[in-house]
Amino acid sequence: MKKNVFISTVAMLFFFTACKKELSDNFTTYPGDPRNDTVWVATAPGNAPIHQLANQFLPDLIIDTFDCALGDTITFKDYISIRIPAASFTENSATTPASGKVRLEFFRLKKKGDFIKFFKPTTSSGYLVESGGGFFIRVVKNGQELKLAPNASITVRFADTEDPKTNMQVFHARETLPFISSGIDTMHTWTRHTDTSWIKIWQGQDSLGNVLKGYELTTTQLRWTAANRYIDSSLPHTNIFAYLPQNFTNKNTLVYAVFENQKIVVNLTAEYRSRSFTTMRIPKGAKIRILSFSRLGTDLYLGTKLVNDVGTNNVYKIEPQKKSLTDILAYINSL
Amino acid sequence: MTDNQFDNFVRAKLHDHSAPVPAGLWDKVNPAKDDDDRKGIIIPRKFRWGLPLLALLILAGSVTGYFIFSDDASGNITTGQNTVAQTGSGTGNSTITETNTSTNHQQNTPPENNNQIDAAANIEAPSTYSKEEEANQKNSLSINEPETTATDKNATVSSTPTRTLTNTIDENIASSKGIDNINISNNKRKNITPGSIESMQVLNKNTKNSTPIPFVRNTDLTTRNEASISSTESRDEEMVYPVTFSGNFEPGNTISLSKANFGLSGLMQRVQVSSAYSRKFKNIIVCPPYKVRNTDWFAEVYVSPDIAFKSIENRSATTQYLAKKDSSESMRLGYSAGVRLVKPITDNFLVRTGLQYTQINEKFTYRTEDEVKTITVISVRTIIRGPGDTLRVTDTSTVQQVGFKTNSIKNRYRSFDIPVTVGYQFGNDNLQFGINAGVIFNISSWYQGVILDSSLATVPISKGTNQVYKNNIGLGLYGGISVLKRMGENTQLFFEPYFRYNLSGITNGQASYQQKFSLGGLSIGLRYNLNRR
Repeated sequence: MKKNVFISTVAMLFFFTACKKELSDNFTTYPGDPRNDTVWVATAPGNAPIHQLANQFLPDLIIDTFDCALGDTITFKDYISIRIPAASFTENSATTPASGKVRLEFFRLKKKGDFIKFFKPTTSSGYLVESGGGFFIRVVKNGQELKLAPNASITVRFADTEDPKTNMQVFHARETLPFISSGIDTMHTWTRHTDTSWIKIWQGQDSLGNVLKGYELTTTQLRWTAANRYIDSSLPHTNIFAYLPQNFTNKNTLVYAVFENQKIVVNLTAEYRSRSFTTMRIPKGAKIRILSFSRLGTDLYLGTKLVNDVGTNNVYKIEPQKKSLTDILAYINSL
Repeated sequence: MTDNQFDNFVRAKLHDHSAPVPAGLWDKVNPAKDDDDRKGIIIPRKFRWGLPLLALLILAGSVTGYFIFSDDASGNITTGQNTVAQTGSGTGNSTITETNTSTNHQQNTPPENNNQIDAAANIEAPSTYSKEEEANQKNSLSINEPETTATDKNATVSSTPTRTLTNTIDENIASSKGIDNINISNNKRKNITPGSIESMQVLNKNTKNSTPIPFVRNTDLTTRNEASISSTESRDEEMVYPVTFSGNFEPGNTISLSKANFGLSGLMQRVQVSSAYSRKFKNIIVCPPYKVRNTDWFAEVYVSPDIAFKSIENRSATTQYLAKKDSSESMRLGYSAGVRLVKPITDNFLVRTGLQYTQINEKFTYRTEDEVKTITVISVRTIIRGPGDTLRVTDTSTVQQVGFKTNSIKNRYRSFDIPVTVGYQFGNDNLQFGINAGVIFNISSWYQGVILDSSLATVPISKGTNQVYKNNIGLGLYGGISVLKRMGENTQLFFEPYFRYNLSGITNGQASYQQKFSLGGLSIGLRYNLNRR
C-alpha cells in the first residue's frame, strides 16, 4: 500500500514537470509566392523573375550630347573615344541627315561581368566567341532613336584589359525587334559584321606615360558592337550540365559559364526535360567558372562553381547562396 | 345478613357459570406474541391468570425498579463496572426462579430453559457455606441452570402463585420474599461505601430473621458477591456484580439485604436491557470523551492542477496593444506542489502551513513572417549528354519553402509561497470533510517567456532581465474545501478544491498595464500522521 502511494505520488510529480517543450511552431507556406515555385516551364514567360533580375544588373548609361550636323569626337574615361563624322545620322524614315543636338548613350562591355549584366553572352549561333570588348551606342533626338546614314560609319577606339588579338572581327548583337528596353533579350546572339576584316590594334599612352593597347573598330551600325573572334571549334569540346535545388528553376535562374583565361561568357540554357541548365561546345580541359544568378521573390542568390578541367566531369551541382545585390554586382565586376 | 343472603343467592346462581373467552382476545391483549416468543417469554394462552399476573409482576417490577434506580442514583454506580457486566451477559438470559415445592407444576408449558442462562450458576459458593445449609435451601429456592433436572426446568411456570419471571431477572421475586424474610439492619448507613457482600446470603432467603450479613472484604471499592450452590460447586467461575452503596463500608457495619437486592436487581435489569439491545447492535465500547488537547502532527504532500484567471487593468497602454496582447495570450493548465505541516488544535480545528511551488502557464502565440523551411529531397534527373549518352543523376538536395510561422511559446509565472491556513474538519475515521481558509505569503516570483513591447514585437523576458514583473507579489487569500479518505493506519488521501486570490498584481508600477492572477485548483495529496502508533 505504501509503495503504491509513493509510486503514485512520484509519478504525479513527474507528470507535472515533464513538459519541457518551450516552443512550437506551425509553418504555413505563402500561397502563390514565387519563392515557393519549383515548377519548370518550357519557356520562361516575359514576367519571369529572370527579367527582373536582368533589370537589377543593368548599369547606368553614359550620356553625352553633340551636334550631329557637325560631328564630334567624344571621349569617355578608360580611354574610350568615339569619332562621329558630320551628318552621319538620319531618322528612321528620313533620308536626309539629322541635325541639331542629339543625346548619345554609351556603355562599354569591358569585362566579362559586363556581358552578364546586359545578358550579352559571347556566343554566336551556338558557337563560342572570344571578345576583346564591346560597347553599346545609341543616339537619340527628341526621344527618337537615330541610325547611321548609309555609307556613314563611326570609329570607336578603346583600350582592352588584355593584350589585343589580331584576328578580332566586328560583331553586332542580334536583338528582338522592336528593341526591348528592359529584361533579357532572349533573341540575343552575336553576328559577325559583313565586313570580316580584322579589327585594327590601337596603342597609345596615358597621361602617365603608360602604354595602352586596344582596338580601333569602325562600324556602320549602332547599338551593340563588339570585337570578337570565333574560337577553334575543331578542338575537343563537350556539353556541360548544371543543376540546382528545386527552388531554382528556369523562371528565376540564369546560369553562365565564364572562362577563366578568356573573355568568353556562355549562357547555359534551360533544359526542361532534365530540369537542368546546359550548353554545348565547351572545350575540354577549359577552366571555367559556372555562375548562377537567381531571384526568388525579392531575394537574390548567387551560385558559383569553379571547374578547372572541363571534361573530367561535365555535370555540376550549383548551390546558390542568398546574396545582396551589391555583393552580386561586386562579384560580377570582379570577373 | 341481608347482604349475605343476596351474596349467597348470586353465588349459587353463578357457581358453575363460566363465561367463554372470545376468540382472539388473547391476541388483542398480547398482539406481540411472536415477539414474546422471540424474547423467550413463556405465557401459555390457556393460563387465564397469566395476564393479570404478568401485569402484577410488571407493576411490582416497576416499583422495585424505581427504588433500585433511586438507590443506584444515590449509590454512584460506576459506569465501567456496568459495562463489563453487560458485556458478560450479552447472550444469556438469566432466570432466578423461586418456587414452592408444595405446589403442582404444570407440564403444559414448553420449557424455555435453552435460553435461560443462569447468572446464579456462575456464582461461586464461598467455602464457608455448609452443605447442610445448601440442602435446606432446596426447599425454598431453586435456580434454573442448563444442567438442572426436568423438574427444575418445568418449574418456570406454576399453577400456584409463584414468583417466576421468564427471560427477566427475577430479582423482584427475590426481593419480595427476601425483603419479607430477611431483616438486615444497618446502623451506620451513612458510612457505607461500595463494598463486598456475599451474594450467597442474598440467596439464602429461608434464613429467617437472618443475622447481619458478614462482610467478607471491605478493602476494595467494589463489592464482590459470591454464592455457592450445590449444583455449581464444581464451577470456579466467578461473576462480579457491581453493587454499590452511597456510604462507606467499614468492618462491622451491617446493611440491609433488601438494599443489596435492589442493587442486584437493578443490575440484573440493566443486564436484561443490555441483552435485549445486544441482539440489535454489536458491542460498542463507548469511550469516555477525551478532552485532552490533540497531540497529533500531520505532514501533507500534494500536487494540484491549477487554472489561472487573469485580469488586466489598463494604465497607459493603447487599445491596439491590449487587443494584441489579449489575442496573443491564453491561459493554460498550471500546477502547484508543496508540503504542509498540519497541527490539529482540537479534533475539529487544525492549522496548516508549509512551502508551496506554483507555476502558472500561459501560451503566447505570435506570427513571424518570411520564415524559411528547408526540406531535404531526393531528385533524380535524366540528362542526355548526347545520342546514346544518357546520364541519370540522383541528387539529395534541399528545398526551401517560405511562409509564416505561428509560434507558440509558454510563458511561465513561477512562485514560491508559504500558505498558512486554518480549517474545520469533521466526519468519521473513514471519511472526513473540512473547510480551510487562510493567507498565502509569497516568497519569490519570477517569470520566463516573451511579452509584447510597445511596438507589438515580441521581447523575451527571463528571470534576470525583467522590467515588467515584480519579484514578490505579496499576499493572497486562500479558501478550500477538503475531503479526506482514510487509506491506511496513518495515511489519508485528500482532495481539496481551492481558490486563491492574489491581492496585488504581478506587474510593477512601470508597466503600462496591471496584470493580476487568481488561481483555482484541486489539490490531491496524502496526509501522514507523524505520531505513528
